[in-house]
Amino acid sequence: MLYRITHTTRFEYELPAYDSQNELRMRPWDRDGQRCISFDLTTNEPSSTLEYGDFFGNRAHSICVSAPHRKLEIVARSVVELDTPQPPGATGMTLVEFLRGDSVRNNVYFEYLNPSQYIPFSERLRKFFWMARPQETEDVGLYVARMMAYVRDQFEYETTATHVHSSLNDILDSGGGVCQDFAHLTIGILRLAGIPARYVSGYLAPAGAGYLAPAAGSPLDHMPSPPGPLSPPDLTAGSNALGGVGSSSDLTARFHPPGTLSPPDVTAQASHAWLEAWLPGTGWSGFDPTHRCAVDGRHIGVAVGRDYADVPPLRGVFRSDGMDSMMTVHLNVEPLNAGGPSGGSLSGSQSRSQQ
Amino acid sequence: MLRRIADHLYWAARYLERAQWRSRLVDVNYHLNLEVPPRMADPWEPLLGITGEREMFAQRYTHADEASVVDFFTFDRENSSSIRSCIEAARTNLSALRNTISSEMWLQMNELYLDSRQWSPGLLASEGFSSFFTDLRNHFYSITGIIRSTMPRDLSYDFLEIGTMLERADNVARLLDVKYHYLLPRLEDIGGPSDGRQWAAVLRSASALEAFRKLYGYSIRVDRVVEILLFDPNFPRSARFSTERLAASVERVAAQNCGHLPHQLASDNLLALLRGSSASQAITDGLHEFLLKVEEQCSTISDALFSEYMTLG
Amino acid sequence: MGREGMNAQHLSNGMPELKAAALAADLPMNEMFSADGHPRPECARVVNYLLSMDTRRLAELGERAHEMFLRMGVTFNVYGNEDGSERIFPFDPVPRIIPAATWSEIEAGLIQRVRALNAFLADIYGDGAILKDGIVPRDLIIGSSQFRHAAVGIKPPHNNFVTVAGIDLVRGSDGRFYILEDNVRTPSGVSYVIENRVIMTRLMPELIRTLKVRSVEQYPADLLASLRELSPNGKSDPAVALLTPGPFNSAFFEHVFLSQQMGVDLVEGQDLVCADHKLFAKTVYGLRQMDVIYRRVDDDFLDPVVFRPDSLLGVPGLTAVLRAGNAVVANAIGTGIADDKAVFAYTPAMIRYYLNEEPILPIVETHLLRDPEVCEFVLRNLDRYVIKPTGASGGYGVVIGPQASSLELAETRARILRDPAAFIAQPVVQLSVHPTLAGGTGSTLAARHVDLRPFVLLGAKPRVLPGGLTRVALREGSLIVNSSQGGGSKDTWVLEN
Repeated sequence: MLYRITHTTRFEYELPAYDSQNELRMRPWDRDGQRCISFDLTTNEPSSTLEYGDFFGNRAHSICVSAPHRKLEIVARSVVELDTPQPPGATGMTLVEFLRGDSVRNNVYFEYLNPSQYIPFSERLRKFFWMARPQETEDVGLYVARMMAYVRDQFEYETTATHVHSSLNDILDSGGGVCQDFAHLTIGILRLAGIPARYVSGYLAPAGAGYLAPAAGSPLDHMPSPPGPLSPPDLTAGSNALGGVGSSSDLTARFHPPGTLSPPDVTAQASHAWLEAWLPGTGWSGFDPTHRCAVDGRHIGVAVGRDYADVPPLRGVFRSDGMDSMMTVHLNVEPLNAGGPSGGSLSGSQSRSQQ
Repeated sequence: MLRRIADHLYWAARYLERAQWRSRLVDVNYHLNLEVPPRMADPWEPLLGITGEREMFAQRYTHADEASVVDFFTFDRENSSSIRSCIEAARTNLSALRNTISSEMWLQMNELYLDSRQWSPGLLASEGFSSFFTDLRNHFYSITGIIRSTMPRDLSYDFLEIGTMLERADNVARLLDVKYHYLLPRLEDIGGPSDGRQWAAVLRSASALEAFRKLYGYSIRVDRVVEILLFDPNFPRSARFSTERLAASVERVAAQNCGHLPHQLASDNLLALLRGSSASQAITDGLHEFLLKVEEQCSTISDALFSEYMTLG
Repeated sequence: MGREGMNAQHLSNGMPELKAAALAADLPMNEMFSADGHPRPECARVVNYLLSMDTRRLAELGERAHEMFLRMGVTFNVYGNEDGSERIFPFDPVPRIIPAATWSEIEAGLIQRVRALNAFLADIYGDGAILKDGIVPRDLIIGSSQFRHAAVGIKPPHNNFVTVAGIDLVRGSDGRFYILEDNVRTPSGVSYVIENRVIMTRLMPELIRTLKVRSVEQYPADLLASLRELSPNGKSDPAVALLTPGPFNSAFFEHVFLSQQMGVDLVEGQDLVCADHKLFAKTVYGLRQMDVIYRRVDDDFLDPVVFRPDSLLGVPGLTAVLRAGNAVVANAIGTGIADDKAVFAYTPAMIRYYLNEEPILPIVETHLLRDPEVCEFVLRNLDRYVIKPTGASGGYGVVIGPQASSLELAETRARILRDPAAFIAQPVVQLSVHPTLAGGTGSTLAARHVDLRPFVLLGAKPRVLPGGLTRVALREGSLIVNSSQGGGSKDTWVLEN
């Protein structure tokens, strides 16, 4: 299957922003049955871009917009070809057997077997794990599939119960969450069971009408950078200051406390989150707890990491004298066939539309 | 030179100059009140007018008597412009500049600072007013002397000059503004018999009495006081002299830029204002209005310098 | 690289040594006097000089030194001090003397060690061969908060992750020097070395000249040379600056001092900006490109995009500029993992692995409590060991078994049981002692424990400062020499011959 992805992120600032420094992870990967045929990144403002590989092997971009701007629009466009993967199914190895060979794996996949920022091994997680714990003779692959379903069945899909910086404890508390939370929770359980599991950030191609998911990623990942004072804070101009601007601190950018930014406004689809579990035989295999399925030909992978903290689609800081900014995300994933696009991209926009 | 360094130099200079003005004001006022029965009920009150601190004072002190005002002006830690606070601020700014200034300068500033940490109102009483302020004056002279003799005349020196001269011009304008109206409420009194001792005190506050006598002789005419303090191109504490030096430093600093920038225009304006007038002219047109113009120009210059050389945004 | 056969050799947990060492009794070595009470030959002149002074003159010596420091403003800030005040780092005017032959062995050992640490860092942020070969456990490295993902993919010039290293040495009762700790993040103290010498040349000029003490004044020039050798893209005449967290940092004096001595700008984060994936300083006339930054700001605070987002001390986008290869920081991002006390235990193995040499300077025996057998033994003999948290620095969190109360020992036991992997144990080294001014008035001499922190520079070639900072624990019997916990320093004299 061939897809065209257009991922547009827009920031609007009350007062101009400047010295904007950002990290992006929006380039679909090139491996394991997925080929990124083309990719480009554009911004509406003059910017400097650098591509690099991060610790987890993801292709990331650093984008720097120095001059003052009221609006910043970053558009990532890619064309990706996906093979239809084999559903993993049973691996032919029980969990017990799997764990016996684990000393090397514990070493090599250490980061995927241990707690991480959004995946703490809390008491609540352990209880949740225990309630559906594996049987001795249970097949590893089947266990993973069972856990994926278990997580999805226990919780509502709900966009307001958690937020982008929730750890898995939040979904355990609230009873509802989004794809990010389902992924974190499933990963947590698998890690407790001794199965290496990692977080995947990517896109979901449309299957048909109706399914809509909100944005992963939030304005809180694009934060004003804290300013520095010019002179020691209590020792600026005194009372017979020469009028006008007496205090130098008035002229530095203010620091915005979190929570003063407006929530994202999303149309169409958004980034999606799922997980990969390392299984004997097939290696890293994708599972999507939100849709209760193994990855099929619709999952376009962008980045892997321990959890969301390692792979936010966009993260950065900027300076501004203003207090307010707003972020909107538009995502269009359009199936293409050789010779032209097929109909039915979920956003309802024209085929070949560019946003 | 880093912008932040320019900022530190500028503010260190302004705080040092401010501390000197303050100490002269307090010292002179004290001795004046010793010699002469005060004209008004609160002879210390006008000082608050000069520095524009009446409101701040009223917040924590009830009565503008000698003890309170001296304390507010000299020792008060809550007052960011008290002599003690100015010394601390100057030192803090200089401590960020330790690889720009000479070690002797730092040593001298640090000594003054360490001394000031021991100050208390009781110290004034035991040491005596005169002795305390004489020591302080000598400290300041040491520092400015060291600056003059050890600092190369480079960009750092220019920013120190700019800070010093701007503060000086502003302070002399304020001094004159308040004292003039305190001492001479009616136009008819100008040129008439004046309270010699009071005006002598004003001159002393600017360390100008002896220079005045050299120029004009013993009797003190008000218009001549205004002349020496505002318009004299040779007396180092006059507004005119300060502005000449300010403009010269601004010119040197701006030399690297092409064209005339806002801060150059502003300092040129102030210079034109002071070069183009005289005491009699200013008094005829309204001294207060003239002085207000001077103060406003100082403020404009400060803002313009700031945005050109010092803001980090 | 000699990887074969390494596994068997080092993975022994050292139990036999542990048991033997626990039984040994030892007395500290005196640096000035040998066991028979005679001054060591290299110290003879100084001893005579001291013997010629009565208590009053001795006290005066100390006072004059203190005065000089105070006037020069050679101070440091102590965290948690209630008035946020500055203190003079106490200076003891009795010099510590190291003969030439002793020093040349130390110097060779230090160079060897820093080369190995540097190779280790380049490896773990690159191919990870030492991890794949099982010499150092991968989880120890990857699981450490000091392992910085951001450092992967940034290749410093000459592969120099470490440009400045401060290696802490102690001298055991057997007279040998042992490595106690590595400091390759932002080691400090060298300014005191230089200032101490300035003071001593005023207090004892004749002695210094007669003994032919090797000079330390070239350090700033050597540091600058090493930094310039790091120039990105081989750019000639690179612009160098020292990045400081600012005047409220405890080592600010040193930042000022070094930048002044090297003739480079002292900058704070707010003075710098990244544009076009290059680094610039904000000057009064506009932006000026910077190439090499000697940074005294910790990784955590260096770049709010990648590290702590609330940091005011760093430069947003700096990491991306480093990746682009348009600027270099010294020391590189991620060196903190080499300071980890558990990683320390593997440093002799690193020397063998990367250099194929035997370590010239041994380390103090270090036992990893992550090994259950070792942990159990140590817990049963807690009062004989020094327990250190693997991630801490500056002497905080260290418990000295023989000097701890039973309450402290119980608390320590509990902390260990909660997370054994976070601790290491070392036998108590009877640090050597040195005559030091003591008594309330500083008018007598008494033995106090000392250590040594030499400084090693790694540019295009290694340069070692002769001597280094001798730190002295001013309280009688105390083994803690850190400035923040009641230590002081002495001038260290390495003799020419």
